[in-house]
Amino acid sequence: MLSPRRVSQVLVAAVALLVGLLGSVVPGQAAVVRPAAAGPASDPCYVLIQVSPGVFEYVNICPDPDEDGGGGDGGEGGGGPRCDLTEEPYDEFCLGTKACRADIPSPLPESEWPEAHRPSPDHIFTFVQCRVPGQDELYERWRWIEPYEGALPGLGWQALGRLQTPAFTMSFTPAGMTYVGADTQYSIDGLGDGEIIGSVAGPLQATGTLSHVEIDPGDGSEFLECEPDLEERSRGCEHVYLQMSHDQTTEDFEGRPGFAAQARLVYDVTFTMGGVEVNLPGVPDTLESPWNGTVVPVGEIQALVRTR
Amino acid sequence: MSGSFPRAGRRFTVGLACILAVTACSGDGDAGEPAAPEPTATVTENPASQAEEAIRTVFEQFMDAVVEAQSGRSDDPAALFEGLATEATIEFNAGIATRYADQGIVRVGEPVITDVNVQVVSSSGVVSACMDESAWSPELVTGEAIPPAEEQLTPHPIVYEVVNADGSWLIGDAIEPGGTITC
Repeated sequence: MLSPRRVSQVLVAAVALLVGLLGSVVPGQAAVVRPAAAGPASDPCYVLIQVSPGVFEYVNICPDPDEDGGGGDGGEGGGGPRCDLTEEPYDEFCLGTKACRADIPSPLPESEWPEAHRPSPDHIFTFVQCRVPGQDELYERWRWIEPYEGALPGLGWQALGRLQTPAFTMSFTPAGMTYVGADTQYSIDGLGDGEIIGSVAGPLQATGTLSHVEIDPGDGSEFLECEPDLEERSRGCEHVYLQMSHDQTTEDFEGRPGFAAQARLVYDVTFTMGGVEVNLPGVPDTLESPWNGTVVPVGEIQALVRTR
Repeated sequence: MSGSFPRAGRRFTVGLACILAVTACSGDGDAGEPAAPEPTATVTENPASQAEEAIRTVFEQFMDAVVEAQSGRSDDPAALFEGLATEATIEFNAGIATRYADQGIVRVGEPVITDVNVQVVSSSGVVSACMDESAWSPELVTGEAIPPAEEQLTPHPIVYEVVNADGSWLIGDAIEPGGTITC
């Protein structure tokens, strides 16, 4: 026989089971309405992002039920695309059955990304637009996405932009003033160890290795390329001026007219993703620093010219 | 980057407007709350203060439009901003409203705007204010509350560019307050 107490026990158990089941069936959406999710940090779906200075927008970053197991990784998991990627520009990747494009690089600065919800270091937070089958309206959301292969060049440009060439100075010997026919040697200071590493752009990181220094002697002769010697500053950067600089308009600090010599640093750039080097077609593999220079007054000493 | 979405990034480059923002807000901290309406009451004939008054009105209507657009009550959020904001700002705000509608989010109540400050230089200017969003709560259309974020619970500065187009003032891009305004 079922006593009233027994009945109520069964009922409680059934309700508990049902709640448990519901909770696991719709993980993302159900979690939002869970009363226990009190603090903003504990809510898995809704985050606040600053889409413009002082302007905040609530964003549901959870994958829709039609998307494979979440993650928003372009639906690569389950045997080929499940969406129709033939209509431009919504031909970049699938989110479930939606055909999508994304703003890459992200229009939102990385400092505004909801970092706590980042599925993996390879994901970027950006604006996504999708064509939904059988629907006129576009699906537009801010989402974490894992950049698909074709997006890498776009990120490569961003990674390249994060490489900063060092502020260097250029000097020459004989110090202060050189002479027609003499070996004038240029020195570059501030090269560091010759390697520059950029901050990460999505999954990509760019690294620059100093390849050579390009020097314009300023007297109309061809540019020189010299090998940087990081130990003893830059060796082998030599030039022989064949004319005096008295008629030049540029002057050094002491007011002597001189040739406006300048130098720039040329770096070989490599891109890595998760520590593995990747090749990005269309993205430059060299990076040049801005020109920086010095004024080289060139005089004439007969004796010096003769001994040479 | 391609596509029609208004770039948030563009709004961070502000040039002259940013400089204006600095001057606009330097006096804000010590001025206190009641300072706002005084100049117009005393110097009504001054064209500069007329412009200032016009901008205050447009800004107020613009903020009302923002609240209305995000309330979920409007079928055509872009229309709310007609004559109040630049094309880009209309598109930007209508975009937020549309996404809220898609995601079943509404904002209930309204923000409290204080310390409105206007600076005008010929045909452009800057309007700044403090915005307290704690009484402007996000909810799902099903009535469930979305936990408000910390940023909403304390007043924060907002700064907008204003531009004069054919004699009327329009709210332009939101610009970085740059730490000169304390709310």
